[in-house]
Amino acid sequence: MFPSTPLLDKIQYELGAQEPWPKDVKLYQPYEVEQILLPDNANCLAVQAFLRMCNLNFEIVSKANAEFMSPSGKVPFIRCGAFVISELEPIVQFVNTKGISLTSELENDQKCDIRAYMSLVHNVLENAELYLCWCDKETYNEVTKPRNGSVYPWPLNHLQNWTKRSHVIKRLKMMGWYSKTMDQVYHEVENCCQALADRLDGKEFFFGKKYTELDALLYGHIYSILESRNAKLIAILQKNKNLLTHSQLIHRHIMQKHFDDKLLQRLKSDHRKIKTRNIKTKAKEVEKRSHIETNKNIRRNQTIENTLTETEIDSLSDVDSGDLSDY
Amino acid sequence: MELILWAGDFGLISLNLDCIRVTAYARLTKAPVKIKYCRNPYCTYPVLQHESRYVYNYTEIVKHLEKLSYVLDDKLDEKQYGESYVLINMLTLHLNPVLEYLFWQNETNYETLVRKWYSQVIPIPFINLIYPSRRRKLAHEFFDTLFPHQDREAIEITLLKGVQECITCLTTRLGESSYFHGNSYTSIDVAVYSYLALITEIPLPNNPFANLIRGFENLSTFIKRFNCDVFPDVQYDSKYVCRFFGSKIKTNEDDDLSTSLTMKVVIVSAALCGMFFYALSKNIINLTKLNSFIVIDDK
Repeated sequence: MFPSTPLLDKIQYELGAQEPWPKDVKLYQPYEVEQILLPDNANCLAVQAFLRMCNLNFEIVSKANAEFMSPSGKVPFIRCGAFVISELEPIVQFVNTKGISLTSELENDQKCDIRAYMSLVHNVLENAELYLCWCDKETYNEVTKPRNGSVYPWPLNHLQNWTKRSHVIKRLKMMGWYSKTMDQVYHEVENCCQALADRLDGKEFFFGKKYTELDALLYGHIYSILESRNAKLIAILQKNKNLLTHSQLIHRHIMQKHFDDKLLQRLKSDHRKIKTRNIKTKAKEVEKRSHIETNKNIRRNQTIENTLTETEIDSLSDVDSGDLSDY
Repeated sequence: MELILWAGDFGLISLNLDCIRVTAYARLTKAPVKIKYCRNPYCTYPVLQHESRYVYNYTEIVKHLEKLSYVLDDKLDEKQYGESYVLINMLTLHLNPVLEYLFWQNETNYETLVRKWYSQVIPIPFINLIYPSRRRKLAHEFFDTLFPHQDREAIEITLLKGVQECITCLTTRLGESSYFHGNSYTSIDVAVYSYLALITEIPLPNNPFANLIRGFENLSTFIKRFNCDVFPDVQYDSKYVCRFFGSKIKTNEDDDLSTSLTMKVVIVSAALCGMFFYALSKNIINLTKLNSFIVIDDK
């Protein structure tokens, strides 16, 4: 890994701009099922959504030590040719140097809005998630401790938990969040969601029909909160239904679409192989596998759909089919 | 009502962010508060004392003042209120680390001004030396966790980038108008002033952020106008550091010699006074002789 100095990065980005997006881009993140924590999951999903919004190819690589591989110490990070870039904003900038941008048609004040609202999400939702994971005793003991320590052997797991916790606490102290109570944190999240819902104001995405990195970031946070199954946070989200609708829209049309395409391709190629070999038993296996995968997929979707009532989903599907045909 | 603030200097009512915000809020809502300064660095600032009740922190104090019907944002509609909330969060995220960096992380600023200022402000000996170094250590830890594996220059460039984005946002939002919302100051104006004034008004020797902000004319005039409107009684001064180092804060070693000359005069005269009184107490100098000399002279 090359040493990270912003000036060097900038020069390298400029030089790299002439090269097209490579085929073997890899996105590194912690293990999704047993290791990842709420704030990291939000950031990983946000980056995935952003890259998919830009129609860029990448492969997800799960590593237990992704956090320590990252140049900034934060997940996720991408390896694109000779570059290693972590976090959403630097990745967005890097993608922009390749001439790919989701915000090129926006006015200056709209671009400012993106920055301001992204700062809001970083400052409130991210800090609240960190607070919940590391400072709320119940969540720390039941979720954070076993998950964060799951990839380390005893006694390293306790040591790692302790160091990470002290790091997070220092950060929260300086940002003025450590002195808050859990109720104050929920109140802050409520205000943030209210501000975001007001800005969304019935539109599909923040800037009309075109999605931006802000939509990707918000999707990451909302979806990972829903996956975390924290009752209080979900209750707050349910008060602002349009945020849920927004996330579901992105999930269906960007994340899901990609997943379906990939699955279809894999199945097709499997079928082709089977035809040539003409082995009936394998065909059955593939069918079985496809059935399992679609089931899995449905289960994943249920987390988000459970939170919406049926009538809302109906109204959503109308929006989907009509207005999203542009994409 | 009494508002207890951390010491102020360099034309600022206080050198604590929330203290400036609370005082500006109180003055704009015309809440009858009396300002009292405290120079104990270990207290939480600001503190509002109201009928033997103490209220801490900006948010709590604002809530308390709102209960007493001193409300600043009453003219804002919901959308404007939301926008203020978003902008204040952006300021907190981007400019809090900048303040921390300027005062405590940057070596030149710390050695030339901050450490000396604190050692003059804190009246208790030893504490005035221990507190700044402890506070600096905390800031180091903060930057180690926020920007791991990055050196000072890299951190400065990252912060500058954040500030530039934030300031561009503010100047686009403010445009040609005098206020962020409507025709009067609201809480977003107060927050913007507090952050920008703290960054630009203090004569720190190494401050690239101030130059960046001064480059935007509408923000510079905004700071000046806010200062004139809300704090007309606070004049530019350097109360603490000038006491020993003259009116100018030394920026290089040549200045060091000229300022230490006044120090030398003070030290020599103090020593002469001491010797004189010692001589008097030991009867080496006889005052009666001196008196008679004066009397004879008169005759």
